[in-house]
Order: sequence, then C-alpha cells, then structure tokens
Amino acid sequence: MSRGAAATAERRSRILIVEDEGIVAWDIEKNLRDLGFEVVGVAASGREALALAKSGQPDLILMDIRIQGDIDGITTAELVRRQLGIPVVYLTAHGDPETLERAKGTAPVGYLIKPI
Amino acid sequence: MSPEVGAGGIRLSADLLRQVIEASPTAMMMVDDEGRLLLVNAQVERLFDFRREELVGRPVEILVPARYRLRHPHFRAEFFVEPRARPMGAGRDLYGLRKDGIEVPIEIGLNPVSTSEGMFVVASIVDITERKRAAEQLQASLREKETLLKEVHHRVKNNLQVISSLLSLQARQMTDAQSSIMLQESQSRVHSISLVHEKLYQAGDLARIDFGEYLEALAMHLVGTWSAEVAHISVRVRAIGIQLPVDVAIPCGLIVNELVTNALRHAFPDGRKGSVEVSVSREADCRLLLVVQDDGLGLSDGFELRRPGSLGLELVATLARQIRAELEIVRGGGTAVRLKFEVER
Repeated sequence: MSRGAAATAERRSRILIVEDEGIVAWDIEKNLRDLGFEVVGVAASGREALALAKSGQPDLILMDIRIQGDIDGITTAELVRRQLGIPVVYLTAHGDPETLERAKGTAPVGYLIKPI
Repeated sequence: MSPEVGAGGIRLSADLLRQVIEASPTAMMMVDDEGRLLLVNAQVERLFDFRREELVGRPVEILVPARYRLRHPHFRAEFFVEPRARPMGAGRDLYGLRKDGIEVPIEIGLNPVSTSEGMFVVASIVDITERKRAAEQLQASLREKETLLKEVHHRVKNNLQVISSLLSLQARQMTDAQSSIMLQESQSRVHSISLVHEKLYQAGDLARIDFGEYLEALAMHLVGTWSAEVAHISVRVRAIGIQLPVDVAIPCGLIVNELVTNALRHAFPDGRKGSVEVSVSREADCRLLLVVQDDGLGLSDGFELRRPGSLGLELVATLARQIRAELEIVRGGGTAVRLKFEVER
C-alpha cells in the first residue's frame, strides 16, 4: 500500500496494536500512521487489549502472541473473536508449527513474522 | 533329562548345565515345551521375589503380567515351531510380574536346548529398570534442552526486532535521503540474520536450515523493502536440497543480502527492466557454488570489492573470507558474483 493510501478512504481504518516491547510498538505505530491509518491504542497485555478493543472499536487488531499478563495473544484473539468479532493479524517472533496451528484455530486474517 | 544336552553345537551334561545356569550373574530359567519351569537360578528368585520351590513345576505364565498372559502360550508355541537363539518380543517393551504384583521392565534372550527328551528353552532375563529410568531422564533432558533452545531463538528474534525498530525510528529522524537509506540497509542486514533464527526455529533441526527456503524468504523481503524502486525487476531463487549449518547460513545470508540489494538498487537505473537470480548448487568436487547474477548495467571498469565507501561490498569480501570462499566476479551481460566454498554435509 502506498503511503497515505489509507487516509484517502472516506474514514481512516482504525487499528489497535497489542505489543509489549515499547520500541517495537512505537515503530509499528509510526509506520501505520505514515501509511494513513488511525492507531486507537497500544496494549501490552491481553486484558488491556480487550478493554481497548471494547472502548476503541478498531477495524483490525495487530496482535503479538507472547505478551504481558495472564493470557497470551492467541487466547486474547479468541476472546476478541467471540466477544467483539474484530479481525486479528498476528505479529510475532513465534514461527513454529505448533504455535501456528494453535493460532489458526482462532481464524486470524493474517500472520506476520518478526522482524517486520 | 538325558545326561547330555546340546545348545548351539556344544554338548554338555545336565548337571553342568544346571551349574552354568545357577552360576550365571543374570537371571536364567529353563522351560519345557508346555511352558513348565524346570530350572531357575538365584537371580530369578531375587528378580521376581519368589522362592524357587514356588516356581519349579509351575507354568512360566506365573511370571507374565495378566494383560499378556493369555497370548503368551501362543508365542511360546511359535518359538518351538522354529527354535533359534533370539531376543524375545523384539521392538516391544517387556515386563515381568513379581510375586508382590509389581511389574519389572525386562529384556529376555531365548536359547533352544535340544535333548533326547525333547526341546527346552533357556531364557536369560535382564532387569532394565535402571536403564529405562536413565533413558527417560535423558529424553526429559533433551526435551528441556530443545525448549531452552527454542526460547533462545525466540529471544534472539525479539531482540533483533527491537534493533530493527530502533534503526527504523532513527531513519525517520534523518533529514537527508542517503542517511535514511543507509539505516534501511542496516535494517535489512538485521533481518537477514533474524530469518536464519526463524528458519532454525521452524525446522525442528535446531542446527541447520533449508537454505533454499531461506533465500526465498530473503528475496521476498528485499523486494518488499525496495518496492518503490524495483517494480520492473524480477528476482528468482534456485536452491534445492541445500542444508546449511547456522555458522555458514548467517554469513551466506548477509552476502546474498548485500549482493541482491546492490543489484536491485544500482544495476537497473531509470526503470530499466531485468532480473536478478540467486542460485546455490553442489559442484562435482562437493563444494557449494553460490551465484548472484543480474542482467543489468554491469560494474564499472576498475571496480574493486574493497573500495572505500562501499560498506556492503566490503562486507561481501570479509564474509567470503570468513567462510573460506573463492570469490570471483564475472562481467559481461550484467554481473555475476560467484562464491565456492566447502560445507560439511
């Protein structure tokens, strides 16, 4: 997508970032804003992500798998799917078949391997 | 029993056989074709916690766990049809039943003994409880090591992502395009290393990667990184069945990263169409040949890899030396950089 393409749409697409590495989250946020997206928030844990997803109603969630707190990104994505129906793209350093298989069960719309 | 019996061509007296069985440091017993225990030694008494008078004359199935007991006479009959020295139940876990009902993992060797009174079988039994326990501990330790290695790969990849993000954030602060591009190139180098960890993590073999798969992913990433400049250039990879250990994969990945980046950014100016190909093959002398070639402009006369100011190409020369590669640059109809090097299979 060319820079600013998302801004030319009638309404800018709204994205929630779930990532507990502050620097990585900041970089992603800047890239997304450059591309014309609106970032509704950055969450470091699953519970925080659920709260921000409910309040911010994003169009898409970029979800790390290993995050802070008692639930990981895959469980958070499953809760998001059941409770809110918001599409999720996984963003993770995990690329092993077991994790991919578990993540597939939550019907994500994409899977990006770090570094991106 | 007759005074002489034969086992494996050796004939010995029944008394001598009794003495040999009794003196054996392993548990030994003799069984007739109906499965009756004829002889047991002291080691059998110790292993199964029976006194010998409780065993002699009884069916051998008294020492077989209940779940195998029904089938045992069938196996015994089969042995007597074609009697030969062999381990019992090859490939299966065998257990013996102690008097107190506890099962003991065992290994059993069967030896037919022919006499004028018929065929008998001498069984030697080894308690493998300690061996099994050691094997289980070893397996658990290996699983733990694998988990630890996976965790290390995960952390390395996470740290590389942080470095990549730092370079990306720094590039944004740059006011001149050249500095920004240099940081992007550094980001790409970090990515080429990270991809090795990604492939190691996925492979199951935590020491080697499929270099063809790696190159496909690297090529895709490079085309994505320089997408604004390379829409008119195609990148192909040819490397089938090439496995590289991690200490060779990382320098090779960095070399390909530099050469492909260089070709994409400089060999096709002003929208010139063309292609870049990366190939790895095994030569007749078993060395690997890595070639990065393009059909672009070609290098200028007097070009030197180690010329000052060209970090990327200096890196290629340094890394080639690291993997002890012969490096050759072929000009004409574009550029081909060829590296020949040895890799242990």
